[in-house]
Amino acid sequence: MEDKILEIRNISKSFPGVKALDDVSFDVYRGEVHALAGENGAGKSTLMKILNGNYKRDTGTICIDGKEVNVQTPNQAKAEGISIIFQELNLIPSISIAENIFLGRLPCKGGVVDRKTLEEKTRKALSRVGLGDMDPKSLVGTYSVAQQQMIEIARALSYDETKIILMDEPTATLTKAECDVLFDVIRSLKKEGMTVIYISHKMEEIFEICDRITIIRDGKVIDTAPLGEITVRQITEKMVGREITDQFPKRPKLAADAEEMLRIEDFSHKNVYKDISFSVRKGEVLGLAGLVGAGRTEIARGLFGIDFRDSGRIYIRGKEVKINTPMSAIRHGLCYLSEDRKTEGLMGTLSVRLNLTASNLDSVMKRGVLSARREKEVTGRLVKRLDVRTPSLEQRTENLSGGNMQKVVVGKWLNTDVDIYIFDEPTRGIDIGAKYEIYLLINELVASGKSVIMISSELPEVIGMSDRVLIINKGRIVAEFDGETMTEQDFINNAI
Amino acid sequence: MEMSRDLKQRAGFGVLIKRNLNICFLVFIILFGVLFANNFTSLANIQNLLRQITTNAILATGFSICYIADGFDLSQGNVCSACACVALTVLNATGSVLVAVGAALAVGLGFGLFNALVCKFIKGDGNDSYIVTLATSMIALGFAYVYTGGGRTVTADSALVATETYRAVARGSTFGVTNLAFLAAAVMLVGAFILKKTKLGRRFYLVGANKTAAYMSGINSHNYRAYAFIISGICVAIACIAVTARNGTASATCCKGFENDAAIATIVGGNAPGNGKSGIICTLIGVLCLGVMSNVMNLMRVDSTIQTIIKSVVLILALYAQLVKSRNS
Repeated sequence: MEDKILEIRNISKSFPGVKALDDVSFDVYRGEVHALAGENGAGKSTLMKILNGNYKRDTGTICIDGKEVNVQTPNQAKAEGISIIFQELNLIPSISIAENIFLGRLPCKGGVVDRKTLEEKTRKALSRVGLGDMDPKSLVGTYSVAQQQMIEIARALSYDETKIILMDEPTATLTKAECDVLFDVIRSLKKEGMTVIYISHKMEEIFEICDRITIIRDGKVIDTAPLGEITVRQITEKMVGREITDQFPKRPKLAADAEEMLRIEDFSHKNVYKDISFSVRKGEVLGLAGLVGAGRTEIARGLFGIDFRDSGRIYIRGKEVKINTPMSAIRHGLCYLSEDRKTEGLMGTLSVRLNLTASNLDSVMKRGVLSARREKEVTGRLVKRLDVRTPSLEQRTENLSGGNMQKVVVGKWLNTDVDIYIFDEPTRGIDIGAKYEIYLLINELVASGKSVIMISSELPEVIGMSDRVLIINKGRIVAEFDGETMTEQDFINNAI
Repeated sequence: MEMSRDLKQRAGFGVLIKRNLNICFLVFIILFGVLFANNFTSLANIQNLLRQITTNAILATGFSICYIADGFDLSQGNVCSACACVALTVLNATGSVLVAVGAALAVGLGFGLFNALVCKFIKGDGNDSYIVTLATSMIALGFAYVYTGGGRTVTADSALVATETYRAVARGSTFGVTNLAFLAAAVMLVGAFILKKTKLGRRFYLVGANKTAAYMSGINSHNYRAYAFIISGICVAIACIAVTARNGTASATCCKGFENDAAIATIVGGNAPGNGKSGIICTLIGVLCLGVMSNVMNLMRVDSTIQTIIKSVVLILALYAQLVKSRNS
């Protein structure tokens, strides 16, 4: 019988329109590094936030050392021995390391901060993460991201109660060498008897540092297994839940004589992107692949006229056009579906009806005024066609699930006569069932003679959906592949 | 079984109340007035009440349109004073009602345009409009002081025929209802039409809810915020005509603080940027709430300073109720 430090039993959590966690149960053993893997939106972060007391669970129990605990706030979590290190750093750059670590609980003597004890305690915490020679009085902002991450870990350790450290994708912003330092720290913590829950979707890291893995999909635990008894392929299949081959709906091959819809030439902007030229044909899906920060979104925003660009010409159906604002872009038949639907795509507090007609109010005008009846007809048809799951046309869009939000944004453009759709991360934060529907929708668009430019960080998606894939690296187009024959290795060779 | 249905019905009733807090509040203060204030239901008092709320009804219409587009027009009061001073001075000088009204409209429109241009130029968000319109308010106050030669009161010259025509509107009544109420009703109807039936009005809602998303949907957000300020300026000019016609005098501070009442009416009525249910009906409810409240307090001889405090507390409660409502829905 293993020594269980943390038992998670039947945890469920719902948000409006989506069940984030569904009856989640698993155990974590004392002194192990336990990996938590799953796709974006699978529920990993929600589970972490419940353990840390940021969210309240709907049902279920959490036991630490065999004792049931009821964690309601992050402070209670700390008192029970749980510390979390979020993906984004939570340090204040303009104050010292010592003050950051003991923020809100500075050691005091007679009502005044006791600097000597503070520095001593800080030094002790820092030395546990191999930073013993760092000056506790120096400002956090002067250190690199990797060092700041270590300071965060030191802060987690500075709580005497800490038994379990949760790390949410700690290596997302680290270089390889910095990762190695982090792994050394994790190993030494393990030796001290600390338990670590490690969230990541980088398989190599999981196999290097973790002992066991729990795989979550659509808010459910799919499997928990020791890493010695499972392969990378098995893990990926369990994460995705289906074989990768039929993940994308088929569509007929692009006609060889399809006319050119859009061509851009010599797009450049400062150090962001340079000499970008490409064209998209009628009925084509053009994929833009690359690492985060390679400049894909910036190119799209430059094309749609949201951000300024230094140079570049745009031709639509062979005719040069000027696009400087979204207004002119839309007039010329372009639309852009932002990766950030909530702030850039939807008027969240307004209804489905108002959002669907936002870009083309002319479609619901009758004798010079807005016609409520006409609007109901038009939006009702769109909701039906896109199968938006909403209780009514008057539902606030912010209460819909991610997939349905995306459908409303698509519907807003379907209601206009734009021909070129730029999708930026069209399935981010959308659960798998709804993803498939978005893919079907993209196929439907190109089948009706529209053109699609798709930016996506999910490699299988961009390969599986595109007729052609351009690889962007540091703001330049470095390679072009046929979507049918491209492999992940092609991407790795060119994008990194 | 029987009990659970009962509970469900009760929950439904609670939701109904929560959705229509503004109406409930109005009903509450009317009942309060009927029960505790003498003469509240007398014909004279109701006529008086209507006369009292007309100016605010006109101002609040402009204020609400601005607020729905996520703008906040703090300049209304002082601009209204400036309009009033100009209107009466021009009336005295030219003896023409038409020219006087035209001058008032020009001044209101001018300050509205100024708000609009500055807000468009700085491309700020809703919070910046507080500061912009506060500055405009000071400018209007200064302008009115200089215009009236250091804050003298302008009195309509009763010897002129034009003055009598000008003031007859306010003094007269049709079917026992003051003419000013018809003016206010017309302004509100036009406001409601703009908001609910025109592309312009719809875009106010879209921009107010999320100006970035609106921009990405092809709406020039900052322009629409600017149009809202211009509409507010026009409303101010119309309100100034009501004020001067009723009083026959004007000064640099004659409409001081009017923007407060417009803001209270707008917010107590349940308007909010990003709330698709906002509109002139909400504004009307807010204007009535505030009007009845003041009227009842006057009848009960509550000190005017205390009245201001009570109104402000109601404003804070309304804001809080709105926040709670938007968090729960």
